[in-house]
Amino acid sequence: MTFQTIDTSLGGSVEAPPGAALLRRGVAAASVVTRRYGLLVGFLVFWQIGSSFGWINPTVFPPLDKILAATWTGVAGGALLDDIAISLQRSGLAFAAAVGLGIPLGLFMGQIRAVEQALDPILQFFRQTSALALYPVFILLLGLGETSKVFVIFWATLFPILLATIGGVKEVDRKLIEMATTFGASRATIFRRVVLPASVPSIFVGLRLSATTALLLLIAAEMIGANKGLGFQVMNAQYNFQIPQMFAAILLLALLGLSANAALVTLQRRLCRWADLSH
Amino acid sequence: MHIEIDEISKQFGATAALHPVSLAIPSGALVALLGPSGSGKTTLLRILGGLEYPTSGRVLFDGQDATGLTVQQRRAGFVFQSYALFRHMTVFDNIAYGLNARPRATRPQKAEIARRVTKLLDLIQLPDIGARYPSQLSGGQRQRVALARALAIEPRMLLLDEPFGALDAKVRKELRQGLRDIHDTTGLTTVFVTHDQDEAMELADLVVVMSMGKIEQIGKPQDIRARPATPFVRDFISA
Repeated sequence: MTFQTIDTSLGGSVEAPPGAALLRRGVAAASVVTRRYGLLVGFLVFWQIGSSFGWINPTVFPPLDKILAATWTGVAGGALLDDIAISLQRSGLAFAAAVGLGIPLGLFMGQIRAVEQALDPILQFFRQTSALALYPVFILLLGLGETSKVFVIFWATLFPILLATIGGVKEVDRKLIEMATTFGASRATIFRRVVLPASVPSIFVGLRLSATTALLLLIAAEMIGANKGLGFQVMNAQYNFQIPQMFAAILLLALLGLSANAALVTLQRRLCRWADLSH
Repeated sequence: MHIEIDEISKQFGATAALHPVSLAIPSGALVALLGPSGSGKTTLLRILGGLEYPTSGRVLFDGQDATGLTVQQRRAGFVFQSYALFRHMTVFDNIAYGLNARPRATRPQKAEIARRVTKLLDLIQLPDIGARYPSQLSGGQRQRVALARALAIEPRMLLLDEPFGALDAKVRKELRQGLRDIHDTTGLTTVFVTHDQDEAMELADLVVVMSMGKIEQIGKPQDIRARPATPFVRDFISA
C-alpha cells in the first residue's frame, strides 16, 4: 500500500478527439522540421539566387542546379561511379581493419591494467603524431599504391576506436562488477554480460569519430597520390577549372559521410536501446 | 540465519578500519549499523558478505565458521547504495541475473526463473515493469528492483548498504515501510548500513551504533534512546 503514492506518475495520458490530435501533431512536426532545417534551406536558397544573380562569384560558387546537374551526370553517366567505388573500398577496408583490431585490443587493454599502463605512452605518442605527417613514411615503406593509402587511413582511424574502447571498459562502474561477483558470475561471464554491453556506447563514440576521420584521410590521401577516387576528382576538377564537377565530388563526399554516420547511429540505437530511454 | 561476529578487525594498510568488534545477530532480526562516515559500518557489512576479508577474528553463520567462505558461498543478497542495476538489461533480466549466472547444473529452468521473477515483482508491488529498463524507473522503483534482485537467489541473509541513501526524504519514508514489510514476509536476517539515526531507530529491531571503527552501543531503539551508553551515542542520536 505504501508504494502506491509513488506510482501515480505512471498513469495513462488524457485522451483527446483523434482528428484534433492528428492536426496538432502535424503542426508540431512541421514546426520541428522548420526549426531543424529552416536555416539550411535558407542557406541553399541564398546560394542559388545569389549565384544566379551574380551577387556571389558564379565561377567559384556555381548555382546549385549546375552542381546537381554535374552530380547527376557523373553518377548516372557512370563517370564518377568508379571513383565512388574505389573511395568506398579504401575507406571501408581501412575502417574495417581498424574496427577489427581496435575493438578487441581495446577490450583487452581496458581489462588488464598492466598492459594498458605499458602501452598507453606509446599510444599517446602515436596518436599525437599526425597520420598525414607519417604518410611519406608509409609511402616509402609500402609504395605509392593502394596499400599505403589504406594504411594511412587505418592508422588514423585506429586510435579513436582503440582509445574509446579502452575508456569504455575502464569506466564500467566497479559496483556493477562487484555485484555480478556476489552472484558468483565468472570473469568471462562478467566480461560478456556486464563489461562488454556497458562499454558499447563509448565504443560507438569512437566508431563515429573514426568514420569521420576515415573520410578526412581518404580525401587527403587521394589528393596526394592517386589517379582515381573522389578526393582525386575534387583536385582534378579544380585543376581543369570544372567547378560544378568539383562541387559534385564534394557533395558526394558529404553524402558519403552523412550516410556512414546515419548507419552507425542506427546501429547504435539498435544495440543501445537501453541507454537513451528516458520517457 | 544466526550471525556471530567474533573479534573482527580490519586494517587497510596502516589505518585500522575496524578495531576488534563482536556482535551477535539473532536469526530473522532486522539490524541497523548506524554511524557517521568512517565509522567502519560499511566495512563490517562487506566483511559479513565476503566482499572483504577481516585481518583477524571470525564470522560464524549458525555456529559454523564462515570466515573463509567466498562471497558466492555465503549466499548473501546485496543491495548497494547506487543499486548497481545493469542498465542494458530489462528489469526482468536484472532480477533474474543471479539465477542466470549460475552454472547450468544448478540453474533453474527458464519457466521457473520467470515464475520467481513474477512473484518478486508482485512482492515489491511493481508487477508491470518487467520489460522496462532501469533508466525508465524512478529512484524508488530502482531501489525496489535492486531488492528483488537480491531476493531472487533465495539468500540466507540480506545486506543493504545505505539502501535509502540516494532517495529524497518522502520516498525514503515510504520505502522504509516497504523494506520492513518485505523483511517480515521473508523472515530473512537483514543487516543495513545507515548514517540516518531516524531510519535506524524507526526500522530496526536492533541498532548497532558505531564510531571510529568501534561499536559504541548495541540495543533496541527505545533502549538506546532512553539510555545512551556513551557521550558519542547521546550526541549522535540527538543530532
